[in-house]
Amino acid sequence: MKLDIRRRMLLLALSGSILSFLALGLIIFFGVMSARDTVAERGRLLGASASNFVESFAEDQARRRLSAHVGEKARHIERELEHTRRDAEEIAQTMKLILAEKEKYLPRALPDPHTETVASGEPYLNMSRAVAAGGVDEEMRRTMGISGNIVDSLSPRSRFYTGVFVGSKDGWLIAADVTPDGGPAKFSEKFLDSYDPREMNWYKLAAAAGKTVFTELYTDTNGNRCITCATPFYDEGGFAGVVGVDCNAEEIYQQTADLEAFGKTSVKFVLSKNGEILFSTQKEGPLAVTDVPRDLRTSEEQSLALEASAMAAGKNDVSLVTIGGQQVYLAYAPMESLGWSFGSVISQEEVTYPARYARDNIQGQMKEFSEDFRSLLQQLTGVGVALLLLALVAIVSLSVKASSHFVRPILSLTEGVNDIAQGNLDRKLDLRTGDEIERLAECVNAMTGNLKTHIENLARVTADKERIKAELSVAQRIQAGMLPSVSPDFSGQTAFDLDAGMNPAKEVGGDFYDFYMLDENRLAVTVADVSGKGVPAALFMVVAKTMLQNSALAAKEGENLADVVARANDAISKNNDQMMFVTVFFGVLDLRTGVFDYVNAGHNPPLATSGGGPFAYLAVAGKPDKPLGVMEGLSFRQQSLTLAAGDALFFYTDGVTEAADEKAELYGEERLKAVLNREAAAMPSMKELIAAVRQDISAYVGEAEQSDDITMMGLRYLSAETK
Amino acid sequence: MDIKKEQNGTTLTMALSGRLDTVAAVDFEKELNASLDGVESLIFDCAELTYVASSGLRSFLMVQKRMNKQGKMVMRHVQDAVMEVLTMTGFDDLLQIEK
Repeated sequence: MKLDIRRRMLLLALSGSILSFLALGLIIFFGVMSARDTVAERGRLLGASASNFVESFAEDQARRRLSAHVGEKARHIERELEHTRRDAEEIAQTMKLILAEKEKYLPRALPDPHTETVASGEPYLNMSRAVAAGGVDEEMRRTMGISGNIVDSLSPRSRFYTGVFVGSKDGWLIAADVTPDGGPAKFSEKFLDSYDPREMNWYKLAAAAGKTVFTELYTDTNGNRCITCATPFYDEGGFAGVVGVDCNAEEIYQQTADLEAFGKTSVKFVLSKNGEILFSTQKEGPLAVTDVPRDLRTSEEQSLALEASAMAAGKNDVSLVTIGGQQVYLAYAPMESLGWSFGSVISQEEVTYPARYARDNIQGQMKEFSEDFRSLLQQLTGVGVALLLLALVAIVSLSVKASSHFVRPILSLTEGVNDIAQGNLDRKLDLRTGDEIERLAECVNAMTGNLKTHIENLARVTADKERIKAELSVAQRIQAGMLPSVSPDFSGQTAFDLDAGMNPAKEVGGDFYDFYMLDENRLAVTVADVSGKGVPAALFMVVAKTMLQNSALAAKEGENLADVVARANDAISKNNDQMMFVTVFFGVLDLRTGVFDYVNAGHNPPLATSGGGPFAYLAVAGKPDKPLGVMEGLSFRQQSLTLAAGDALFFYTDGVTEAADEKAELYGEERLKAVLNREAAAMPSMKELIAAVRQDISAYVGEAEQSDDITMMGLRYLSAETK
Repeated sequence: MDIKKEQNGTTLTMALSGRLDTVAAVDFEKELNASLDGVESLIFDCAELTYVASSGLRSFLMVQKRMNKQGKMVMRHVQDAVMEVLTMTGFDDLLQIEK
C-alpha cells in the first residue's frame, strides 16, 4: 500500500527540514573549520611576525643599550682623564704665576729624599747627581726655592693619582708620590741619583707637543699600570718645565667596570690606538691582556680583527663578531683624549634572550589562544549538534502535528463525501481552510446541490412521464372506445360477417376503422390510415373519423359516395396547416343486393375473394384518388362491385404488409395473400381469419418492434336480407 | 436517412438516401425549415431513397406547399417502390416529379 497523504506530507516536511538542517549544519561546520584553520594560520603568522618584531625590537634595544653602555663607560673614563688634565693644567698655571712673580714669594725648603724620610703624598724635591754636579747657581736655587710654593697645589686630588709632580727644565723635580700602602715612600738610591725628569717620556712628549698630553700606558715602579698627564708650564723666559700627574689607569678602569655590570657573559676591554688590549676583564682568551703586546687588528678571528681596526680608528658601533666559534656582540666607543676605545663583548645569546623570551612568550600565548579557540570550537560544535538534535525533535513533532493539521480537512472531506455517497444529499461540507480543500468542499457542495436538483428534476420528469403514460393509457382506451365493436351492434346479424381490429404501434394510433348502418339496408365500412403516428395522428384520426361519419350519415340515399367523401375532405382540409392527411377506403354494402360501392382515397386496395376463389387485390381502375386533407376541392370517384353470398373482402392498412422482421424484411403482400388463402378454405369467421393473420404476422415479426399501426377488417356477404 | 445538401445560388439540391419513415421525417422537416430561406429552386435527388412512409409524404406535401410560394420544387430519380406509393396515394399529381 502506498503512503497516505499525511505520511507523505510528513515525509516531505521532514526530508525538507532535515536536508535544510544538514545543509546549514554542513555550511556552519565547514565555516567553523575554515575559521579555525584561518585563525590557526593567522595566529601562527601573527605569533611569528610578533615574535620576529619583538625579537628584532629587543635585539635593537639590546644593541642600543650596549652602545649606550660602552659610550657611557668611555665618557666616564674621559671625564676622569679630563679632571686629571684640568688638575695638571691648573698646577702648570699656578707654576707660571709663581714664576712670574717670584718677588712675591719666599723660598720654601722641601725634604730631600736622599736624606729625609718622605711620607706618602708628601712633596719632596729631588735632583740627580748629574744635575747637582752640573752646578746649581743662585738663580736656579732661588727658582727652586720659590717653586717650592707649588706644594700646596700638589696634594693628590683624586684617589687615582699615584703622583703629582713638576719637572723643571733645569732637571730638578718636585713631586708628591702616593705609596700603595700609605707608608713612607721608599726610594732607591740609584733611582734618586739618576732620575732626571727631562729624560722622561712624559716630559719629552709635553715639551715637544707644547700642550697637555697623555702618555701611553706603562707600568710604574710600584707595578701599577699608569698613564701620565703632562702639560708644559712657562716663565717669562719661555718654556720652564712640565707638570705631570700619574694616574692609576687600572683603578679608573676598574671603577668604571664596576659601575654597572652588564650581562653575565660580558667582557670589557680597552683597546689602544695601536690595536693593543690595555685592560680587560677577561683573564685568558683572545681579549685578555698579554705580557707581550699584540695587535688585535691582526687577530685570527677575522670579524674581530675588522672591528678592532674600527675601534683603533676611533669609531663607534655595535657589531656581531665571531670569537671562538661563538657569535658575540661587540660594542665599542672611543675615548678621544687617549685615542683608546672602550669595548664590551656580550654573547648573542644574552642579548637576544629578551627577544627570544618575548618571542617564546608570544608564541606560547598564541598556542594557548589557538588551543583555547579550538576547545571553544569543540564546545560550540557540541552545543550546535545538541541544538540541531533538539531542533530535529521539534521539527519531527511539529511536522507530525502539521501534517495531521493538513490532513484533518481531507479526512473530514472524505467523511462528508462518504456521507453524501450514502445518499445524504442534504449534507453540506463546512470546511474553512481557505485553500484548495475549501474550494474542493465548495465544489462538492455545488455538485451535491446539482445532484439533488437533478434527482428532483428526474423524479419530476419521471412523474410527468408516468402521468403522460397514464394519460396515454386513458387516451388509448378512449381511442379504442371510439372504434366500434361488432357485438352487440351486429349480434344476430345474418346478412354479413364483419370483424375488425386495430393495434397501434404506440399507445394511440393514426389508423382507424369504422362501420355503421346508414339505414337498415346499407352498411358503411371505413379503413383509414392517418399520416404519422402517436397523439397527433390520433387527434387527426378523430377529426377524420368524425367528419367522414358526419358526411356519410348526412348523405341522402342514392347520393354518390364520391360527393360524400369530397364533402368530408373539404371539412378535414380546412385549417390543416400541418398538412396531415389520411388515406381512406370507404365503402357501402347494400345488404339487399350485395352491391358494394366504394371510394378509395389514396388507400391500398383491399383483397377480395369471389366464388370460393383465392383472395386477389381489387384492381384499381384509372388513377387513384388522393388522400383526404391534402387540399380542399378534390374530387373522387365512386367504384362498385357486386358481392355474391360467401364473397369476402379483406381491408387493411400498410402496417400489415410493411411489418418488418428483425432483419427489416417486410412482411409483404404475398405472405398476406398466402395466409388468407390458406385460412379461406375452411370458411372461417372473419374473427378467426383476422386472428390467424395477426398470428401469422406476429410469428413473422418475432422480437422486432412494431413500427406502424396495424389495422385489419374482414367483411363477408352472407345473404340478401330483406326486412 | 441521410441528407446531402448542395447550394448553388438560390438553387438547393438535397440528395436523400435511405428510409424516410416517421422518425426520419421529423429530422427531415427540421432540416428543411433551416435550409429553405431564400431558396427559389429546390431539387430532391431521390435516387437512393428506398422508402417513404406516410409521414414522409406529409413532409413532401408541406415543403411543396412552401415552395409553391417562393419558387418551385422538383423530385428526381424516384425509385419504383417510392413511385408506387406516390401513385397509389395520388401524390404524383400534387408533387412535381421528374423521371
